[in-house]
Amino acid sequence: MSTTTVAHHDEHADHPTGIMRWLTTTNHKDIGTMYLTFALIMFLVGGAMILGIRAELFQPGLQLMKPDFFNQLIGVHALVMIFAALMPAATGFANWMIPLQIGAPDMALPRLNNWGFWLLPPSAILLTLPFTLALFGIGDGALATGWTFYPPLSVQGGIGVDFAIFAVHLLGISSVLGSINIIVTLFNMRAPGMTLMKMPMFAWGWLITAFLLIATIPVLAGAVTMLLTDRHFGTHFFDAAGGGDPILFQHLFWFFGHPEVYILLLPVWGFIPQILQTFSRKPMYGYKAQVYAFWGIGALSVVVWAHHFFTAGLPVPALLYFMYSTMAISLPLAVLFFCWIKTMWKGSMSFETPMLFTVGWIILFGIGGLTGLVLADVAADAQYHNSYFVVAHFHYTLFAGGIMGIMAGVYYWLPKMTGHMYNEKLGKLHFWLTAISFNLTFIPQFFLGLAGMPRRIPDYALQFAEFNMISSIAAFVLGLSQLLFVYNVISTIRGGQKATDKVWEGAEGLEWTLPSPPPYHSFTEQPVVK
Amino acid sequence: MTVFSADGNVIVAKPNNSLTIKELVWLFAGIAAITMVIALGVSLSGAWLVLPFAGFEVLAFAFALHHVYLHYGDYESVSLIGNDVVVEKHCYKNSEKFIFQRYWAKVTLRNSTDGTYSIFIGPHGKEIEFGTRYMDTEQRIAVAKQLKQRLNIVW
Repeated sequence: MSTTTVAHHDEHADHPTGIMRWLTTTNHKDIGTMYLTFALIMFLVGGAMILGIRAELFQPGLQLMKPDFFNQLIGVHALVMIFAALMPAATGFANWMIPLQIGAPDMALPRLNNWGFWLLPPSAILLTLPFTLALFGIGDGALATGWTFYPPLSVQGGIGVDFAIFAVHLLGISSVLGSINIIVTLFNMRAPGMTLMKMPMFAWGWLITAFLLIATIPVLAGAVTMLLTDRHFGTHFFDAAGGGDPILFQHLFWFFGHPEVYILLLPVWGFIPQILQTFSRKPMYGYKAQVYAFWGIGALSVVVWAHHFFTAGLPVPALLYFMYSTMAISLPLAVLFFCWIKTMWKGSMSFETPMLFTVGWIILFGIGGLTGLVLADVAADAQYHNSYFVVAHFHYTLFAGGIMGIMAGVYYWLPKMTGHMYNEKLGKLHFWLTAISFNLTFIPQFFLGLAGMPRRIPDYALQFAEFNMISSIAAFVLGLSQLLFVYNVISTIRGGQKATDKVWEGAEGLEWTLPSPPPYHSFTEQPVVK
Repeated sequence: MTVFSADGNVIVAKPNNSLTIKELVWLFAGIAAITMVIALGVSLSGAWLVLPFAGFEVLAFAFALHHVYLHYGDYESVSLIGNDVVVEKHCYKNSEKFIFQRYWAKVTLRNSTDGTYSIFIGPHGKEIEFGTRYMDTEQRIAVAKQLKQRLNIVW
């Protein structure tokens, strides 16, 4: 057999370079990188907004901004963090890792993948542009309704609401395209031998996420379109004076909004057990139980939405149903927690940065889950609804449960993606600063909520001053400590100690069989899973 | 995925479609049913503007699955037929067929700097690459070895 070595023969290596590579790319890793970069930038943008809010809340009275601008920052912060930071980060990992984990050469529909990403920057511009326009006297700023768009406030609001509605449409289209791609990839492009019940947990998490997006995005799209027609075309869908029903919007919004929580969390729940088994050096416990728990959570998530507006005046049977169904979600979640802890049990554990973030994540997300049970109780919710207790609860769920999970994933896979090891000391410092300052930011907010401080207000009674001061100082430490993360990621991309193919001693899965970083087209060589 | 004929004279490389046509139809039906049931449910509550968005989504899904279906038959094959070596490449509706004189055809395995191997078949100056998309390195090495042996057999 004649074997010749040529300098650079592989035709797959003939890919565009420079700016065109990123504009036209259909490569799953390039698109994943763009999603992750976009998410990081928007995370910093959304973080800067909340630091403005915490600066205002540092002491009672109005210091830095007018109440309307404060409300705008609150609403856009939430939309940016949910739609432009957390979701794209999870999608970035999906693009990077799903083909690697299931042994596919790329996503099933690569061009659709490119379109899905390039819808995001315009939507981010639409969300933030009203701030800039207001500086030039055009319009009255961004949407000031909070991320929930509740009418009648949103019907009466300025052009910022219209911008946000169109942004949500673009984000929705992007999510649907991404979901279609993921479903088709996972069903049709698995390597020979990889049955559904052999798929990695991350792939399972994303499969359920994609189904949830497919089920709920049309409802959100319809709801905000109805809002738009109420604002500009004389309809009265949500106008009680015209025979409409403002509560209908709340039903529609939360039919999407509650599954959205799981849309953000399921991908993280997918890679957490993989990190746990890697650093516990023992097999994942309860794979099947976790898959079934995912399905259970996915199914329950679309039938519990009204617990977000228990105080809106729902009939008692509805209150009871939504209370019990919401509490029922804690059962499959308890299964997951049990499996995560059992995976670590008697393992040969080591605490590199991804594991630190993961263990911290389990504890903090656990607090988020347990405080959610308090809010699921109709009687208790009447007291805590719309208070800072809710703010603290969902930040334990979405910052600790979402963003800290994503950070665990970044530290876990960054050496595989870049081919370089990150700075471990800096990573650990980042974890401890994040964990401590996060708790110091949000534990006081639980107390503020219990004491009766309402959310979304720029001023407050003097009795809340100390806890707000602690929360604001800690929020700034939390924000600044994320710059360590940014520095660590950038310096890892630029160089550093060479990563091995497997990277972590206990890592399992197809992605670790490829070189670090993986070749431009992974698995032109299709593996066989036994 | 690579398939060899019993006598080893035909080698076919094709993608592994883990979803059968029947499963594909069921997948579409399931997703369309879930989406439309939800859309109809909320429409009955007065939110009928959800319906067109649900319809567009189902349509987008149908297009995506149809696209996948159209590529189910993609393959690359090499056949040793009498004095000829026939290489065929089929992608959707595009088919290419290359016929080489068996005596002059050479099989070359080349490795690139990233450690992957590629098979080239044909006479000097007219070589074409085989198995680019559907084979792994080990399979390419095995296929190249087998082809080399078959071509060396005096017929």
